[in-house]
Amino acid sequence: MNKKTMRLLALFLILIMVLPFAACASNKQETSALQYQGNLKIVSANETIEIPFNDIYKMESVTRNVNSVTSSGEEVSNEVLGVLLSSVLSENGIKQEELNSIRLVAGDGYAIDVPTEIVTEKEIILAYEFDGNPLKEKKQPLRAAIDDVRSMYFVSNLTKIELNPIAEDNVDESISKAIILETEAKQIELHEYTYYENVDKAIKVTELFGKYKVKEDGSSEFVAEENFTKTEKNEVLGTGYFKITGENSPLFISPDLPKGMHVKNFLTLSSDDIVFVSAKQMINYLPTRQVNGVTGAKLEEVVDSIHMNSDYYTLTSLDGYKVEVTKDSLEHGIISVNDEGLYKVSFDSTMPKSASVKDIHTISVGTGEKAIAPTAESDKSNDTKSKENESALWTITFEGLEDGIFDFTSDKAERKLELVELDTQITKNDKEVSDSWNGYRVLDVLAFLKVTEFDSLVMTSNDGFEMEYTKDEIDDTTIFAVMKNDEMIKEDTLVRLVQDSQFASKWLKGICKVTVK
Amino acid sequence: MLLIKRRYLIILLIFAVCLSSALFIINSDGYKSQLKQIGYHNLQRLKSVENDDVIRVYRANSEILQIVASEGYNGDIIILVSIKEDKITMVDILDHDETEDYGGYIVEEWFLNRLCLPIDNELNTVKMKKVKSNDVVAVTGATISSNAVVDGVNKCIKNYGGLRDE
Repeated sequence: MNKKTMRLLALFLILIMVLPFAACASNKQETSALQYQGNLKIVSANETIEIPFNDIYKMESVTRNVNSVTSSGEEVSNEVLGVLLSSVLSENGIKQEELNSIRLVAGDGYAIDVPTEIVTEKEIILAYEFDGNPLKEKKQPLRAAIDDVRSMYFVSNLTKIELNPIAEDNVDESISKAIILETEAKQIELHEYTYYENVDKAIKVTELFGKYKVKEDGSSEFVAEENFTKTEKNEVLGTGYFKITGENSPLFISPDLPKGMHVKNFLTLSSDDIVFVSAKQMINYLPTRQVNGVTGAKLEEVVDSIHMNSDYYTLTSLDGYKVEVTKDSLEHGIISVNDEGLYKVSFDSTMPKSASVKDIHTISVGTGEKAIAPTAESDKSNDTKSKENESALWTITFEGLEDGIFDFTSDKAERKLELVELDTQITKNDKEVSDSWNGYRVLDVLAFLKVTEFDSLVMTSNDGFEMEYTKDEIDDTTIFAVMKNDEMIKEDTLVRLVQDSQFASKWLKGICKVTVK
Repeated sequence: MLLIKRRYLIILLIFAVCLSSALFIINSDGYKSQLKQIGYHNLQRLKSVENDDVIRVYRANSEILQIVASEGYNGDIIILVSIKEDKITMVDILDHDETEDYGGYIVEEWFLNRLCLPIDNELNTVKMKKVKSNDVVAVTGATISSNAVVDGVNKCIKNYGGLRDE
């Protein structure tokens, strides 16, 4: 091998080693070139303007430092290079500051409304470089960037901007009816929705909106934790579900929308004069107070958060029981949830027990015709009653007796009747549940009251709910239970009718009145 | 002169070693050692049924292991599929570059378990709820990545059919 051949061989080797690097460099140069086929569509009520992305890249650029907050609460800072939306619009005779709201739409279907306060007060940059780097392929051709907003507005793969797509008036500040979602879920059809590893229950939005006549062409506003608000078109919501069990519930989710458009843990969703409320979230996030040993969201805060302004409010339970209360009374009430997931409005002792509403379903603006107020009168009557039965833990008023009305108290029961034990085994949520109860036989109480003949008993609970029992349904194993598993039943649900039955569907809690028929 | 020649020879020798090492790495079966790490031994490679998508096929006792490449959101997802007695017994993700908060969930056991189904029919990705026995519910918000895995598994099912006929 002569010297020349050796040199050639060495040169060849060097070339082989250098070539891959050269190839890499040439690739990099290609990706950094600002070229993108297609047009940015700007859609207004009257026309659609199409501007080639390559023309936008040639427009006068600006560099801005923008801060944003991600959905996980992380603060992110970026230096972005792009074109101001206001410049793009002004070239087409449109002034950004005169717009109401805009909708940024991505190529993959992600879309978000940017509210008026952002559109009119902030610069919106149509960026093509972030932190000195061109956008990655999937984020091209443009990415919106706005300083000091949530990152949900930083729409990548931006291909369309709709101007003023939503009449802001559609979001009505004056709410007249609130629907408690968790209670509604007991009434409306639920659908299975697989969310990551779990199968949860969900309400189909179109079914809910159809039931409450929410306009299909309107828009709705979500309010979620940390003052997160988001407006969405009802037609978009109509593609999805409100998942009401499991992680992140209540969650707006749609199999046809990008994950970024899902709204998790929302407190309210308002549309026109109706608002769907998560009582669970209200209890989690609003100030609370204790009423009768139970902690719940302050009722006045609940009403305030849903922007329902009235002097009177009607509280309605799932079974139709209605109570009208005054605005003042809200400061004495709470919304709470018990271990069985039942949501209830209850008031302190300044209000009669009948003002409490179990399975609270709706809160609506009242007329004032039968409104209950926390008056001195109400306090006085409560005081009188409590003095009468000073040592009584509970009182059941019996009506329909031959000699009129009789208050049967715990004292009388203790002195006159035998406390019996009843072991029950019921099926609840497909599971066998066993409990041991202590109480007084209903038949013993009737005998004590000298009731020999009756066709039925109508029992009323302290939230006004009534249930009728025929004579056949009342036997030796039907008791007024005062203890469960050797512990006193909570004051709120004392006394409870318990039977030796397979299901607890007729086990009425908090019995305060029995009408003998 | 002799010194210069020796220098060139040394360079050539180094080049030859580098080249042969590179060729060895390219041709060596990295997947096999990966499978051994997972716990599969006595692997018999079945090159004749490998193709552009199903890049490796092994017999491991009564199981057929296939490694398939399927295009996800951010590039190829490398999937290991084990079939035994006409049932997918295990699916594992050997490599992927999916976004952590979205397609990254494809590595979760609860998702991979959804793929362990009989191979009577090809698997079908659904978004919300399993209705048919061959439905696989996609990871919430990661339909493209989920589809890629299901497609990959389907390629293995198809390939397994060919293997069975042999």
